Amino acid sequence: MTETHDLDRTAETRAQVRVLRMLSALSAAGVEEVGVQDFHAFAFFTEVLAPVWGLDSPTGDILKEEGGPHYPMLQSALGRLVGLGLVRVARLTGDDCGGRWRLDVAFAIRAQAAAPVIALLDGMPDEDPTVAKFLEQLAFSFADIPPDRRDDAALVDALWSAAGYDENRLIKFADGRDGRTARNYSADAARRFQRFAPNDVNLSPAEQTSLYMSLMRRRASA
Amino acid sequence: MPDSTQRGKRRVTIRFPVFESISVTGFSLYPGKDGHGGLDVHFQPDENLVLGVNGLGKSTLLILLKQMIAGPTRLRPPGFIGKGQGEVLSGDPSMFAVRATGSTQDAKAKLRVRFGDATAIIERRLRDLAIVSFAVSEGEGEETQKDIATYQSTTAALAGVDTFPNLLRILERSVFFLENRERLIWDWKAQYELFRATMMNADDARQLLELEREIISSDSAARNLRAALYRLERRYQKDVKAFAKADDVHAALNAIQIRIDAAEAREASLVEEFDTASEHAADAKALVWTEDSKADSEASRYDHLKYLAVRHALGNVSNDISYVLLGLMRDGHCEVCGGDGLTELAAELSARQLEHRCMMCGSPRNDENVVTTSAALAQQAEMAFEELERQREVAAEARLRFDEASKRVDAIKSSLEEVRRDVDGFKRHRRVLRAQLPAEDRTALARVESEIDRLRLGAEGFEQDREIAERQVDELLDQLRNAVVGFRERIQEIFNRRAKDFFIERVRLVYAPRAEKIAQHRDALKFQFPAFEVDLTSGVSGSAFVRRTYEQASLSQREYLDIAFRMAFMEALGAENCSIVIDGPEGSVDVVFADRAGVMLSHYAAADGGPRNRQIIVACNIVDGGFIPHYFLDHPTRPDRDARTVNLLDIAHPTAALEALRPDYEAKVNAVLYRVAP
Repeated sequence: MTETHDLDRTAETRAQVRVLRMLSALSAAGVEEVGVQDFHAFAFFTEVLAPVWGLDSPTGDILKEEGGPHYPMLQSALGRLVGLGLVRVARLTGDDCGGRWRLDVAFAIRAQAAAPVIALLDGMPDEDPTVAKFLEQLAFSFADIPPDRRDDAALVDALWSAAGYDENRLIKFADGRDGRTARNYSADAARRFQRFAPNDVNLSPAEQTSLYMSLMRRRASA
Repeated sequence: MPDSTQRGKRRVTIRFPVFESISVTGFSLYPGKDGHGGLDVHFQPDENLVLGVNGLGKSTLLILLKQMIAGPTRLRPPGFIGKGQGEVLSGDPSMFAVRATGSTQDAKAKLRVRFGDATAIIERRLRDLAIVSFAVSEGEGEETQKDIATYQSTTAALAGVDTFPNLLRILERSVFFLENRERLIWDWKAQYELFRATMMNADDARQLLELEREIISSDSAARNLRAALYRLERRYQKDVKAFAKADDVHAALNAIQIRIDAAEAREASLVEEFDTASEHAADAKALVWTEDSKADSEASRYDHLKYLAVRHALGNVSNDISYVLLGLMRDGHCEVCGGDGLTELAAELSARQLEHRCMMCGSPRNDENVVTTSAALAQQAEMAFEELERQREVAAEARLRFDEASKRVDAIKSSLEEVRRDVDGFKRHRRVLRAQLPAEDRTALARVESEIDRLRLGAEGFEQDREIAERQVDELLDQLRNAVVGFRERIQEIFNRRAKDFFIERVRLVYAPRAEKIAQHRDALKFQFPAFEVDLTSGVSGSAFVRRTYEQASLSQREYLDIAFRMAFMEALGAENCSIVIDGPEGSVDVVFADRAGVMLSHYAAADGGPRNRQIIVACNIVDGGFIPHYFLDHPTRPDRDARTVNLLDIAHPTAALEALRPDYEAKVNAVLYRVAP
């Protein structure tokens, strides 16, 4: 087996673990079934708000597309998890999307099958418990957004909607391998809520995340 | 630095020039009809054509239009400049004298040009471009001036900019597209300077320019000191040798210094290579992402059709099984075990579905609905699958290119790390060697070292000055970016509309700020400069948009993209009052695109007798084909075209070819100028 192949497999596994954790967090927050676009919107928030918790953004960049964030790697991981029996296809119907028919799919974690896997993961020495806390908090905030507005929430995000980025261009929001810094307006905005807090109050990452997602909920519903 | 609270968005009131008339007397290049009267042109508010053959002075006339405003000056090429360097350079004052055959002692030209509601009347001598008279008419009389400084500040104010160099920027980088083809869309620095001149509050623009100068000058001073430092260090090495008692150590010191120099030079070159390769890799990654998303989208469409087609055949199996079966049929990929390349199974499943057999066991099914429903859907699904396969090939190709670009970045990064390790290692070794020198050598060397330290301190001082200026620049640039973003959609919308008239490919103007340094120093900050660039669909990568650089574009693409961008910029900023002057637009296009070029330019021109006044002045050769008929699309009658044409065959001093072949040329003019486009 070649080194490249091993790296690909590692990346695939990492993506599957990430998807599993995201679906688990959403399920815990009451989002039992998540549509494809909502899933990618949630994945986007996990990327841009990770630095608020002192975590690295898993990807660090995103292609700005007309329809909203879309991660081909995570989409592929979802399919594989269905095959592995850890995720079920909760909905499979036709859907009229902008005049073109598309398959409308929603996914849900198979809690019973996935629980031992997640427990195993939690026991691994390199797994950062902050990740689970972050996903849990973000999922609760995401769940507060009305279901028909969740995919729009990403479109009104501070980074995604920043006027300086045109469609079909990569938005880089994590520092590059060359040591150069990139702006993450979403994380910056979440941290900025500290300015509005009383002097003796320090907002925790969870509070900053929650406040930022409340703002997204209001903007998406406006 | 001005208080940031006082800074505001500039209310853009740029008044682009619109040309009313020009007359030239006493200039042998334009003796006039039958050798009398010189040249006297009254421009129309929409399309204008300067027609002639080579050598009759078409380009000269357009240059004259520009220099009548600019005088004997030229703008420095785009780029950052230091303190004491002028934005404007002296032009050749005799540029028109050399184009005339006889004396230009009495040659004069008079231009009437409108800036908004005011008309400037400028008269210059052609032998040296000196001002004879200058007046501004705003309906309340005229005031004649000759003083150059007053002239320059007045014309700048008429155009709505704060300095004369900024007026020249507007002329050279938006209004005039002449022989030298000054680049705008292809040159981020030219764009940046134009945006700074037109979209920023005057005080902030001046401040920004001063800070740029400070950075360049401090950087230059620091680099000069570093160069002196380098020379001193080299001498130091020689002194080390002169004092030598431990020859081996000195030889080693010299040798290691040579290696340090070489490694540092290599490092600088690799950093540049890394920047370029990283940009290519980012483009390639964006393309992969686009194509993968399109493939996902096509897969979803195919899945939907397939799902409908197989739904009956699947019966009441669960969503999971349906989903997995769809994946098998679509990709030959098993989501259960991760197996790939299951083409035979995929074919078998497709056959079961087409033959209306059970998808799970292959048994025949007796359900009429299944048969009729599935047959039509299966056909649609087949077509969707073909599209999906095509898209996947495009995506795979994009991935290959990205892999290559990434490998290149990794290779350069690895070389860079290696060379940096080498530099560090060599320097450590040098320190060790110096410590081994005898004490008396070290005392003598200490004096030189103290001089080296003094120079180093000086260089560091300049570097600090540069860093302070850099921090202030960032804040000002933020304002400029916001201002440009405010115009972005309007510029893009106009550009896309104008470009559509000419290009067969789909063209898109993209706002893509450039991350660049002002100073050259290795640690200098990179700033985001507002800039636009162009994406075109490519025949090579299917229908995907790809970034087009100057080198990748064909000659006609380069020219017409630049023209469309200039039009969009002026139209977005100057409302409906502006003018574009183009030399030889027919030169780079073939016979089919000549028609499209004519249409594009014709669509730009518009005058309704009211506020709308988009003027265009074009100089071109007498060419067959559709350019001129399409350019005059809105003016089919002979008098209309005559009123809009400056026929230099009648006015200019004839060339030898024209004297010999005048009847032939005139017949061609009649044939081309008055032909009506189908």
